[in-house]
Amino acid sequence: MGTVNLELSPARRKARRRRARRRYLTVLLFMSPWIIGFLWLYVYPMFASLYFSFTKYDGLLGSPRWTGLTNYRFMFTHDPLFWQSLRNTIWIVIVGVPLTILLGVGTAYVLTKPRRGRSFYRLAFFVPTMVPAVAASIAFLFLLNPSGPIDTALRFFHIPRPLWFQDPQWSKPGLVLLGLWGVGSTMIIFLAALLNVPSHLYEAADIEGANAWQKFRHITLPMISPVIFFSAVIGVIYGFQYFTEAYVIAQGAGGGTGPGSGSSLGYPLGSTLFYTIWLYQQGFESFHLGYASAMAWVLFVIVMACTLVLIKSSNRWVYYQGGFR
Amino acid sequence: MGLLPGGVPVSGATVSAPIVRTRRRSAEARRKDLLSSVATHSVAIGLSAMFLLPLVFVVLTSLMTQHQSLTSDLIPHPIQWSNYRDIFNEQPMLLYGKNTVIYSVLATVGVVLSSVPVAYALGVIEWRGQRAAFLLVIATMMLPTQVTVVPLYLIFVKLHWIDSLKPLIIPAFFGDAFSIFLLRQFFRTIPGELVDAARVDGANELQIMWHVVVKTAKPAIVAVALFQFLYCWNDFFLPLLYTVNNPRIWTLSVGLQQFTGAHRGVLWNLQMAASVLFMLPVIILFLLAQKAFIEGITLTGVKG
Amino acid sequence: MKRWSAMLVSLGLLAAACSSGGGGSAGSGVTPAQCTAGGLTVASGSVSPGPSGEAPVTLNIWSFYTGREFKQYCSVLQDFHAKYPWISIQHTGAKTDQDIVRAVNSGTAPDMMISAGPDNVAKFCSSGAYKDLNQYLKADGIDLSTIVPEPASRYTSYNGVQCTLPVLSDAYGLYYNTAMFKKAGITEPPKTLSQLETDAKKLTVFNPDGSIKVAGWMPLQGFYESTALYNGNWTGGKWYDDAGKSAFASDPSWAALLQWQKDFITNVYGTDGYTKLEQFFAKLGGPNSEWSTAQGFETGQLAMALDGEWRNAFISDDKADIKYATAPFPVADGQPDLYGSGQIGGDVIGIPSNAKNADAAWLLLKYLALDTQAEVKLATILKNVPTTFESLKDPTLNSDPHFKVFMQIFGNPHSSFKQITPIGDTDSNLWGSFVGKWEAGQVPDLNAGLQGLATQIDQQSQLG
Repeated sequence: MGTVNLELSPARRKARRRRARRRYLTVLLFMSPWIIGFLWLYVYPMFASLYFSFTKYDGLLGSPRWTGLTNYRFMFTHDPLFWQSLRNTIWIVIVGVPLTILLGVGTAYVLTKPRRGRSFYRLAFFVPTMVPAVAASIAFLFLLNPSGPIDTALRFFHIPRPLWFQDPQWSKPGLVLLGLWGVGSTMIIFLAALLNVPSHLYEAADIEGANAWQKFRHITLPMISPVIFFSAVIGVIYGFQYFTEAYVIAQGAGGGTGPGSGSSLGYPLGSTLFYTIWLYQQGFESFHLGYASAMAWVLFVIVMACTLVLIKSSNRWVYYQGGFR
Repeated sequence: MGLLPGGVPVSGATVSAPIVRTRRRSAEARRKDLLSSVATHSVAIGLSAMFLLPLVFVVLTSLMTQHQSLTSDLIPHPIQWSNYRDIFNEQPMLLYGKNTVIYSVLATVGVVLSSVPVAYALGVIEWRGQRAAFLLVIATMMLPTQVTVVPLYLIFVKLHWIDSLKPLIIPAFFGDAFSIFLLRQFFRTIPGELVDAARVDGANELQIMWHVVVKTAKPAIVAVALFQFLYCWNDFFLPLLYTVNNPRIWTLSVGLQQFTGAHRGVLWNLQMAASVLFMLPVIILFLLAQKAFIEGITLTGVKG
Repeated sequence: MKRWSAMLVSLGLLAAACSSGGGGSAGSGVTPAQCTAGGLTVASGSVSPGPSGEAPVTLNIWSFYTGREFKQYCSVLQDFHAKYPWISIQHTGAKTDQDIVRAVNSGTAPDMMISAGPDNVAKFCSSGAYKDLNQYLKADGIDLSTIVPEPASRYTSYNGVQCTLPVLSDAYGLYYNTAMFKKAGITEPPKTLSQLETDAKKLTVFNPDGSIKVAGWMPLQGFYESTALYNGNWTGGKWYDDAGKSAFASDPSWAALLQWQKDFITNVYGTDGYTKLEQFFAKLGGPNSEWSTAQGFETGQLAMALDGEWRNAFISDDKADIKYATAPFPVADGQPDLYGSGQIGGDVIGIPSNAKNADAAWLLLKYLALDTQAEVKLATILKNVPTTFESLKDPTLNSDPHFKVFMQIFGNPHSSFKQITPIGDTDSNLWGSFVGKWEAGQVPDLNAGLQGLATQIDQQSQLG
């Protein structure tokens, strides 16, 4: 920062302060879009929805009526679908996130090996990520339908064929398959991480006669653990907000609109009723806006709790080289 | 087998041999190399097939007659190219495409325009509280959309923005946390001397931002734009919520999903054709800009 | 994939799309699943003013119709436009009740909505989402009870507020494949649920591997319209007691019905009958196949079906290759008086409270619901049952023996729609979920389950 003159004349000090003020003004100016957005897109709605969660509010036909903890009490004691949606959501997070990380590491590992054709393989693994979620869901609705290609393939190999999205036991595994199809973006991050592991570590291990598994367990894993941690946190945060695929597939498999039939969200038998889907139904189909707001805050608390647990536990298993964070 | 960059396998056998490198590898080592190469490529090909087959089936089915698409046949016979024309009569694909393009392009412009200055302030200008502010920006990424969605919906109703694309486009002009994060990380890799030199020359922050940082950070800005475009193209939940009552303003995501629900008596062949048309632009965009995409993703995950 | 070939492919597809005139025949951005009566020859907005100087008006109406039925509805709207040439209509299909609630709440409601059923009428009437039509009826001097049968005006109003009018109704009855009946030696359609079971057993055919080839009758509540049986019309079930509380536990006919269903599945399809039925349903194409040419009864894979009167129209339009007949659906063994009745209830039309062109919309609503000519035409082309006294007498409609059965079912005094309440279709949804769980064997104690369900439904009113 240059030499520091310990003796600052008043003029110098005033100039310093003026410069600092100008700097803060510039910062304010540059950050103004985000600051304004933060206030009207985050701060106000957060407080408003917290307020709504203690009211009964059905949109524009009426104004919010304070009901205290009624919404929360109803949620925990009188709403079995709240619990079912929560169970489904936890299931998909616990199953989906680790599988995604595993497959991401695995496919990245495969990509580090070949000398030729690597860019083709990388392309092949990554292109599905580019497919929009709605298109991918519709594609899988077709692929996994009881007379679709997967069914034909399974029949060819004489493997028992589940009914996938028509069977409550198999609808979530079908969704997991759909999610794993898009593992490409996770894979790329792991690929970069794997390639960043310093080679001298492996060479040293080779000299000591380590086998492949030992090298993986004691060198590779710790070195990529920050990326695993990052993927886990992102996976949990977005996993709890799982919506699009479940919505498209439930509507598609359940027949969507029909005479006198409500939406088929959660089809079949509520197995695809995830937390955000139930929230959407309560908030924007039945217009229980107060109840939906309460559900949103409960979701927030749960996600924060899980993230904190992950962060706390990261001290134990995440290894940062060089001490940077 | 080692993981040296470049993928040269190092077997245990050669390490215990004399340190002096022999020019010719033993026949045994060469055979081992060949086997491992075959194994690697087999696995890679197998995985590639699993990832690509769904797309292959989608394309094949998009060329089937409706009757055949309901059967378990895999190959279309006859090949009905007219599906790609008929889908435009079944659904206003061009209208949905236009809406999607409008949304994606405008939102991308908004995000880039608003996120660059914010990232600059958080990454280049030194000020007290910079780190705290940055953490706050990141924290907004952790907030579930559901927490803000009900009041936001009501705001947009009062503004009469519902059933237009405004609720999707206008918030993009107020910065996007993910883009700010990406850009800020990149800006910080710009050598401080460049910025300091410009400051010494008397340039104000705006000039520095434009002439020094933006020019150097073009790849990152392109990556941010690509990501935002892709995100908008794929977006479903918010477009569904804000525009579902007005079919004239549906994006491709919403239009296609409504088509799936409304078309009782599933028209698989046309649906697959519509899906292909929907995914084609972004896949092509990706193929043309592969490097930018992949570099961008790497930027997020690796630089903690 | 090389970049060049990618670009060439995309350019090629773009060229193909542009040159084949995409965008719909009208070309003015008319989206399919929309038709404009009065907009096909005269663009909406440039319609001529009315004879008494009425200003041109474009009505924006929604309905649940899709496909063939949607297109046919448009022809009736054309008739209206001919009568009222200053009113053109833009009609959007595939709209659900959730859509209209959302639209009313966000201030973007259309001028008129045609709902597929009366489930949410009480909600619309009591929340003020729809206008009370009594004001219009009184202004025009119309006495509804002389035009519309009483059960129909009952399911279109709530607590004295007539917020919708019935337009066409459905009636549910039995369809049976006469060729299969002949082959199995059955001379008469079943009249009781026990006979239904006996006949179904005779008519069911299994494949060599044990899976179902032809199902005698599909008892799963999620299958096509079999749901209707679980609404209680043929077993005398009451949804709510006189105090307005859910009667699923207190009315014993519900438990009896569910037990009957379990026995039916075991007797006709075996101990793993539920699994076989699920696989059979999936093989047919799942819920989506109901409206396609792959429909199970039309393709001869169902011997008997509980379905609505509209199935006649679908069978003839799809040119299904079956010989069939219709009859009232069998009733519970202990309720012979109910035979000949069935579930009824149909489309309801209302005007949202914040509709922009409410007065013009009333003219259209009146035409569709109360004009005999319109009712008969709608009933004829959509093969639904008309809902005015005059139209029920129409000789042409009564000439089709298949269809006449449903007209009679509609006229039977025991026929009804389930009791409607402001929680709308929430009770149907919860009941449907419960029956689904019961079928899957996930309800160990039936009575406790029914009690829990009744409590849950009562609690839903708290949330409103």
